[in-house]
Formats: sequence, structure tokens, C-alpha cells
Amino acid sequence: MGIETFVHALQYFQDPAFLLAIISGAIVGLIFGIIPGVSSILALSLFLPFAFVLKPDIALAFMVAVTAVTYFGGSVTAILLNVPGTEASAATLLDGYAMAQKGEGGRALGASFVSSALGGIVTVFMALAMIPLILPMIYAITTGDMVFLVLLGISFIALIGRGAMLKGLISGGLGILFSLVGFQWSTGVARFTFDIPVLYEGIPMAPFVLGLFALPEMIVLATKGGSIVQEGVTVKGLQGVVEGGKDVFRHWWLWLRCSVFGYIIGIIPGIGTMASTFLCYAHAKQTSKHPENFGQGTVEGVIAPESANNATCSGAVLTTLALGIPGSAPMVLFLGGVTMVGLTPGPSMLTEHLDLSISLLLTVLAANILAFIICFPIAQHLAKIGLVPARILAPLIIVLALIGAFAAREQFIDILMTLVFGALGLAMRRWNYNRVALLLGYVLGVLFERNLFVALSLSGPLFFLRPLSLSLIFITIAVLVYEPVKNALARRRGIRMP
Amino acid sequence: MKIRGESYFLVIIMLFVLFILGWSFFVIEFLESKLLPLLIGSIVLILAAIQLGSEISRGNKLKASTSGDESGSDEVVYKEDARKYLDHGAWVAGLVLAVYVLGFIAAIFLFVLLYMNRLGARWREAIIFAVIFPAIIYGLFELALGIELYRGLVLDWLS
Repeated sequence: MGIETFVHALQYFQDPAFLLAIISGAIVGLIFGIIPGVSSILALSLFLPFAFVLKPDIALAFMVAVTAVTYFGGSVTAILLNVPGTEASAATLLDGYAMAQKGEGGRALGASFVSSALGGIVTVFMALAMIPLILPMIYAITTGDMVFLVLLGISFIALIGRGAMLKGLISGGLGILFSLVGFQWSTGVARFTFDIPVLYEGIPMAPFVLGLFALPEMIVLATKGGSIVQEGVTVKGLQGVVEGGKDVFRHWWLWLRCSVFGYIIGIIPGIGTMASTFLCYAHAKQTSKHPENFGQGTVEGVIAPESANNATCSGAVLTTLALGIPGSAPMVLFLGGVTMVGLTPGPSMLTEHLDLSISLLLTVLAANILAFIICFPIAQHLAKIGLVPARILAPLIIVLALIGAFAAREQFIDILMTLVFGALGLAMRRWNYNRVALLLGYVLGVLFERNLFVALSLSGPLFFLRPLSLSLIFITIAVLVYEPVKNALARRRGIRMP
Repeated sequence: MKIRGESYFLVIIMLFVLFILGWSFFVIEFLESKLLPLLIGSIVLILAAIQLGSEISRGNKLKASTSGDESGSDEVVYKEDARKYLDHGAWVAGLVLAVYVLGFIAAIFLFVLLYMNRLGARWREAIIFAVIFPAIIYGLFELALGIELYRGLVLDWLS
């Protein structure tokens, strides 16, 4: 990676459309983060149908910006309304809301914004520094290795559904089966198309994603009814917000440690942002001189999870770009976006589109700065966005989901497919099946099949006898058997597992 | 033996996978084309069967360990949830049907008006959104993005 590549990456920022994509992505991400019950996954689902009409760099910059700043918004409602806007803000709520109740809401918000923004910014530089180190490894990956890399990715994501690995694997397998609809690339045979021409190119992504994520969330929201949240604590003036910002610098060592932890967890696929925030919260409590203050409204309890959540995003973006394995749930949709704009997820993003990949990492940085600039001065008003009632939100998003499904190909059958996948998504949500694993299987299924047959034709049935392939197989098996073995051992010792 | 809703869902998944396996085995021609559906389908079928077995045994254990009142209240909550989901799902299905017959703009007007009211909005508020939202949709999608929204059977027939 030379300085030229970096300059090329910076040139993307000269395009006003690219900048507009980052600005609009940051605003959309903030709004969707603030409103509890909706998330960056929903925002990305609604955007995905329109990704293909945009230039790849613009579409992907928008998606990265949305993902990068959602946690900013999520913390606002966690601190002021006692409802986390995103699940990653749940740890912030423990001390953030307690601070707000003591009249220190502004200070909590300031600490949250500064630690989040700085965590996001610093870890982008860490990700950039890692690229030259991982590039030689990326170049060594063959098509045969890619087969097992895809399997590893699905196995990791299957773990996200805590305590339901079997359900995660079933979901991932179903996703691969859905991806097999349409022409098979090497033989030209149409599979499971039932002579319906619109299925020859496979199940379209927009109805699949919108049905799985947008419709079920809105139906559940409508079922709950009323307002999503009630009026919470208000913040007056900016003095407290500035004081909270200063707190981050007073606790700079805690901020740095938690940012690095968050970044490392982001790099490892399948762990997720929520785990990183709670891990850092627990770490802060363990290492604090006053652990008894945690949960009572201490600023360290806000700084620790907030440093981690945005830092996780930088790591997740890098893993998703470099290996095609999504580091978090929103990154699965980002991966879908990469496919939709005509790029191939995985190592080629670093080997053939390194400048674009660097520009996307810089987008995380820019989006964090933007979110900070937007949030800091109007902190006290932001929570009002979270008060939007379900009776307005649900009908509007249901309509947008159906239009989004239709807009990509202008076929009515896509609306029907959205309805069918909506029913599937609702059932999966109801019984804790892993919709993200299903989507990942669907996105990576074609890649898996293509690489499998290329590897078979190039190297024969023993294509996996390479050090990297064997290592990946070993890691996949370890990932899959770890939890059952741990549970079995615990049962033998008489420990009841949750 | 107590069969819960989740078990029915698993049975549906298994039937779907069996269909995929049968279709792959008997209808799809080349081994290269049928290999992956057969392989992945078989794995999913086995995993689903294991999950179904554990669901049924867990259901039986729950039945044996809980009193009649508790399991009864569980069932009431589940049925209440299912009824609400079906209710709101039917509204979405109704919107799709309305789009097919009346086209997007008219269907959105009707859906926003009636569904917002169903969710507790006053008529005045619902009317305002029902008028503004289709107008924004029309401006954004038809005029700005050049996407021809579905016109519906009635408009097609009239024109």
C-alpha cells in the first residue's frame, strides 16, 4: 500500500456526491439510532433497493456512514429516556440514565459523544495501519480457501444468536438454499424457478431483506402500540455537555483501553457490538477505584461502553472488507450492498479496490466527526426524535418497505415476495431464529458455490489440503463444537447452563 | 405430548427442505447443479430434526414441571401474541391487495388513513398523513427518481 493509493482514496472525498452520501448517511444513522425499535439494520434494509442506482462508492459510503453513527443516537435515548435506541447502548443506560436522574444528563451526553467520536476516529487509524500487515495474507488466499472462509463466516454469525447455535446454523443453511434459486452459473441449469422468468436471476435482495427485517419489526412495533417511549429527563444548557467531554480526557486511559478492546472485538466476526460494550463496562468496573459507584451514575460507566461501540465499527468494517466475513449484524447488510453494486465481497476488496476500501474506512472517521458536530450543540433536543409514536412510524415504514421492494425491478411479484419473507421473518423473530445468519447465507451462498466448483476444477477433490484451508476448517470446527462441548462439560460437573 | 408453535414452524422448515431435496434429486439434471442443494438441504434437515426433537422433549418437560395454571397462562400469552401478529399482518396483506387493485398512490392513502386510525391516531391526524405521505412518495419516486409506481388493475382497466 503506497502513498498513491492513499491519495486515490482521498480523491473520493472531492466528489460532492460522495460527501453528500456521508452527510445524509450520518443524519439517517443518527435518527434511526435515536428511535428505539428501529436500527441501522432497518435503515440499511430500506436503502438497499436504491443502492444499485448509485455509484458503488457513493452507495457504500452511505451505508458505512449509517452504521458508523447509529450508536451515537442510541445513547441519547438510553441516557435521557431510559430506553436504549440500539442494543449496543444498553450498557450506557446503566449509568447514563442514573446520571440523568441526578441532573447530570448533559454531562453523560457529553462524555458519550466525545468518547464515541474519539473511539471511532482513533480506531480508523489503527485499521489503516493494519492494512499493510494483512495484505500479504490476503494475497495468499486462494479460491479453495475462500470456500472455508465463507463457511467460517456463517459459523461465526450463527453464534450471534446467544444460546441458539443450532437455530443459527439452520438459518444460515436456509439462507444458502435461498441463494441457490435461479441459473446455476457453471451449467446454466435453472434451479427452483418453476418457469417464473423473474426468478431466473435468483431471489432479489430487496424483497428478501425488507421482508426479513423491515416488516417484522414494524408489525411488532404496531403490536405494542402507543408511544415507543415516554417523556424522559430533560437537559438544560451546554455547560454539562462540555463538562462531560472534559471527563473523557480526565479518564483518557480508560477511554483508550476500551477503544482498543472494542476495535479488537470488532475485528473478530460474530461477537457483536453489544458484547464489546458490556465487556468494557465490566472492565471499567473491575479496574475502578470505586466500583460501588457503578450503576449509581458514574461517568466512567458511560465512557467505557461508549468508547467501545464506535471503535467496534472500525474493526468490523475492516474484517468485512478484507475477508468478506461481516464483523457485526449491520455489516451483513453492508456485504449485501457490496454485492448489489456489482463488487465481489472478500479479499478482492483489498487487492483490486484498495483505494475504495481505504476511502470507506475514512468514511467511518468522517461520519464520526460529523455526528459529533451535529450532536454536541443540540444534545438537549435530540431525544425528542425518540418520542415519535408507533402509530406514525409503523404505517410509514411499512409503505416505504413495499415501495423499496418494488422500486429495484418494478415487478409486482417483488411485493408479494416481501410479504412472504415478512411472514418468515416474523416467525423467525418470534421463535428466536437468526435472521442475520439467514441473510449471510443468502449473500455468501453463491460465492460459496462458485469458489467450491472453481477449486474442484483447478485442484481436484483434495483442494482443501493447504495449510490455510486446513487452518480454516480447524477454526470452523472449533467454533461449532466449543459451545456444545462447554455445555456438556458443565452438565457433567452439575452446573446448570442458562 | 405437547406440540408448541415453534415445533410447527420447524415442521414447515423440514417440509420445505424435503421439497428442495426431492426437487434437486428428481428434477435438476446435472450433478454440479444438484450437489449443493442436496448437501446443504441434508445438513439443514438433520439440524432441524435435532432441534425439533429437543423442542418436543423440552415441551414435555415444561408440561410435566409446571402447574396447569402457569402453562395455561403461557398459552394465553402465546395465543394473544399470535392473534395480534395475524391482525397486523392482515393489514399489511390488505395493503398489498390494495396496491394490486388500486395502485400505489390510492392504496397508500387508504392504508395510512385507516391503519393510523386503527393504531390510535385521531381522524384529523390520519387524514393529514394520508394526504401528505402519498404526495411525498409520488414526488420522490415518480418525479425525482423516475420510478413508475405500480398503477393497479383499476387504473389499467380505465386507461
